[in-house]
Order: sequence, then structure tokens, then C-alpha cells
Amino acid sequence: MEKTAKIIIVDDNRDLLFTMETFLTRNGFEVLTAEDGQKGLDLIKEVRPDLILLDIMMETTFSGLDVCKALRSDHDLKTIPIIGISGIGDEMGIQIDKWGDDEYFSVDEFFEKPVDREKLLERIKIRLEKGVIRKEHPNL
Amino acid sequence: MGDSSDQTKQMRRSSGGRPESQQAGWSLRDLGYRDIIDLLPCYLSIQDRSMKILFANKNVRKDFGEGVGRACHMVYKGSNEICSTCPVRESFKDSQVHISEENVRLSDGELAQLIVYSVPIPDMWQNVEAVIEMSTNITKVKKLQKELTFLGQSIAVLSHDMKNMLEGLNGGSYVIEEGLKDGDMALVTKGWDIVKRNIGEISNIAQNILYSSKKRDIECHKVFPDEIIRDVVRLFREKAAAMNIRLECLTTPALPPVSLDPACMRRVLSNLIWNGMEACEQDTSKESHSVTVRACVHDRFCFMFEVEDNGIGMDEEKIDKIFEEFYSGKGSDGTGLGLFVADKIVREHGGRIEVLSSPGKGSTFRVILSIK
Repeated sequence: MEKTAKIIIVDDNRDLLFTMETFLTRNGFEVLTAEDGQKGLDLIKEVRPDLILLDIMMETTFSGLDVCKALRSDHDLKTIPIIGISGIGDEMGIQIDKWGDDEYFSVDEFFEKPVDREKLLERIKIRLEKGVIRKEHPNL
Repeated sequence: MGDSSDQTKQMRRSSGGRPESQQAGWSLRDLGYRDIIDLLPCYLSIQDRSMKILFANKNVRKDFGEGVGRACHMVYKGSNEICSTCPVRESFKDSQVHISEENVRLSDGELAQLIVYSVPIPDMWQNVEAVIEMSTNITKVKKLQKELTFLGQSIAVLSHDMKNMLEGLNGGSYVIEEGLKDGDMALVTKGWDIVKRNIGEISNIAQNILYSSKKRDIECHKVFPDEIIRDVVRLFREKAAAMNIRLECLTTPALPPVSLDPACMRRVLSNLIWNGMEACEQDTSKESHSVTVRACVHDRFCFMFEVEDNGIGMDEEKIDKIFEEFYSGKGSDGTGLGLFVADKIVREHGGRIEVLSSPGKGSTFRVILSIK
């Protein structure tokens, strides 16, 4: 039987957490949630999910940017695909680097709110496939 | 350089509204170069190598006092030291024109920003004998520039907030649809709550934008503050219960009627209660949270109401910023307008807001208004 992919959503907005959790659960994923960056990072270390959905601009003590930096500098966790979500884009001068360009702050995908859920689902599936390849061949 | 003030007066007397070139018996040659320099709509002074002012035009004398014979840094900035970015010194060094922006203090105490040009005056051997310092007051331009930058930032912040609310509406609708599809009424209710919460936030932000963007005429009349407070608290009861926050209202019975604008006061109170509830929501260190609204007569002249929460609290640095427009200490949940609008309205009523806060413990916002 095919293993269910685990996704962790980290967002300080409870509404978004709930709707994304509902959406992804209904699409066959195992979903866990965290309301701030520190809890998110702890959960990621404990669960080692297949993919992370991360709100970039959480301004809790440990923001999405901090989570991203911590993950990308952790040898064991840096290959987990991260999909960044934010209401802030280029207009605020936030530069989202693609994977590999920057060892600290880099997300694999970036979605601006309001999120197109079908497109997100499509990208999650693609990222999960690539994630499996990356896990098996980390130097690729 | 002879004194030309008499010539100037003469010229003004003779002009009589007709073009000066057509004035009988008057020629441009009658106008000394000092008069021309005095007419220039800018500051102009000439300095020697020791930075001593040899000549100052009328505008300099008017706005900085009599400067001739004194060091320019003393006249323009009240400083004993030569300015670190002094363009005049640079022109003495390399015989070139230099430009810089300087902050100065006018003799009436006002601060001004100037754009300064320094132009070397060579002697017959091409050595720089003196330097002309010509400057224009750009304070208004700078202020406008700052406002435009601020406007750009504000729009970006608002756009972020609107996207979050759209996400909320979008997500809430999705949850309702899924609930209806499955006949799961609990899910429908949850989705509907998300939609209602975001509609409430859009309405709140729209009201705050209106209050912050224009000066509103205050329409004061005698009201019973106790009634207003209880009305507003009632509106938040459901929301507080959903957020697991105890919302209490402790007002002194029989508060005297006071003269204020009830719509404005409702907004102030709503913003302060909402601020307190959000501070509680952000706090993960305590098991239970509460927001308490109190109102009483402060003294013979003042009426007071306060909103106390046991949320995350703030340090002094944060307290200094909370009343700034579009400042939010709440990440994606804050528009940065609520406290700014509350403070604006209270000041328009001739009152003040006092803040007591301690990180990790909570905050109290106290509104003090005079009894009219």
C-alpha cells in the first residue's frame, strides 16, 4: 500500500491553518499544524514531514524566515521541500529565492494569498515526487 | 560693497506695477549686484578659508540672523565644529563645485533641510580665495517625499491585509462547500464562522481607514458612557467566547452623563477591546485569558475607561511605536490602524491614552477624557 505523505502547515493565522488542513486532509494527505515558527520547527524535527507549507511573514518570535533558515542549514532537514505562502510579495521587496540559490532563505515554491488551491495541490504533488528523488539522490 | 538698501527701496517705489525696463529714468545698471543677490530666492553667503562669513544675502540675514564675521557652522547650525560633510571645505580643497544636503536650525528655532551648492571663487592665480555657499530650503519637498514613501508602504501593508482577508473568505467558502457536499453541518458552521470573522475584519479595517484618512467633525452630545461601554462589550461577547477569552465589564453604576461623540467612542472602545483580545490570542504562556473593561470618574474633571488584558504585553520600545499609523506588533493579524485611530479620536476629544504594559504579563490602555 502506498504510504500517505505527511505535510506540516506552519501559520499564525488559525483560519488558514484550518482551511488548508481541511483541504489537504480531504486530498489524502496526513496533515499536522503549528501556530508559530518555534512550534513548527519542533514539530518538523520530530515528525520529519515530506513537505512543509510555511507562512513566510509570521511575526511571532520565530518567523517563517527563521524557520526556513534553520531548516536549510540543518543537514538532515534541508532537503524537505518548502512551499512558502504569504500576503506579501515583490511589492514589499521580499525576494523569494528558489532552492539552491541561497543556502539559508530559500523556498521551493511560493504562493501569494489568496492561494489557488488546485494549483497548490498540483505543485505539492510535483514537489513530493521530486522530494522522493532528492531524498534518494541528495547530490542531484 | 556699498550699502544698497536705499537703492532697493527706490527701485520698489518707482516700479508702480509696470515692467521695470519701461520705468523712465531707470536702468538695470542702477541696481547694484548686492541688490540682485538680495533678491535671489535662496540663501547665499561667501566664506573664507577659516569658514568665516564675509557676505550674507538678505534671506540668510532674515532666517539665520546677522552672520557676517561669524563662522558659517555657528550661524547655520549653532555648532562650534566644522560640519563633517561641509561642501565649502571641499571646494577649498579641490576648486570644484560641491553639493550636499544639510539640516540647519533657523533663528526662530525651526529645523530646516537645505540643498547646498558650494562654488569656489578663484583669485588671479587661480587659487581659491573664497567660496560661495548657495542653498535652497527643501524642507517641504522632503516632507512630501517622506509622505509619498509612507503612502507607498501603507498601500503595501493594506494590500497584505486585504490578501489575508481574501484568503479567509476564500478558505471559509471552501469549508462551507465541503460541509454541504458531505452534509456535515459542523463543518458548514466552522466555515461560516471563518467567513463571518473575515467579513467583520473587512468592515473593521474599512471603518479604521475612514477614521484615519480624514478629519472627522466631532458631534458631541450628552451620553451615558456606561450604556456605550455595555453595548460595545456585548458586541464582542460571542467573539471572545469563540477565542476562549473571558470578557468582563466593570463600570461604576450611575456614571454621570458626559459630552462626547458616541460613534467615535464606540470605535475607540472596539479597537482597544479587539487589541486586547488579539494580545491574549498571541499569548501561549498562560492557561486562561481575560479582557476587562472598567469605567469610572477619574477625578472632578475627568472620566476614565480602561481595557486591561493578560495577553503577551509589550516592552518600552514597542509601547513607543504602537500609536504610529500602520505599525503592528501582531504579524499578519494586525493592520496597524486600530490603536492609531483610537489615539487620534481620543486626542480629537482633547483626551489622552495612557499605556501600562509588561512583556508576558499583559497591558492596560487607559483613556482619560475631560467631563464637559
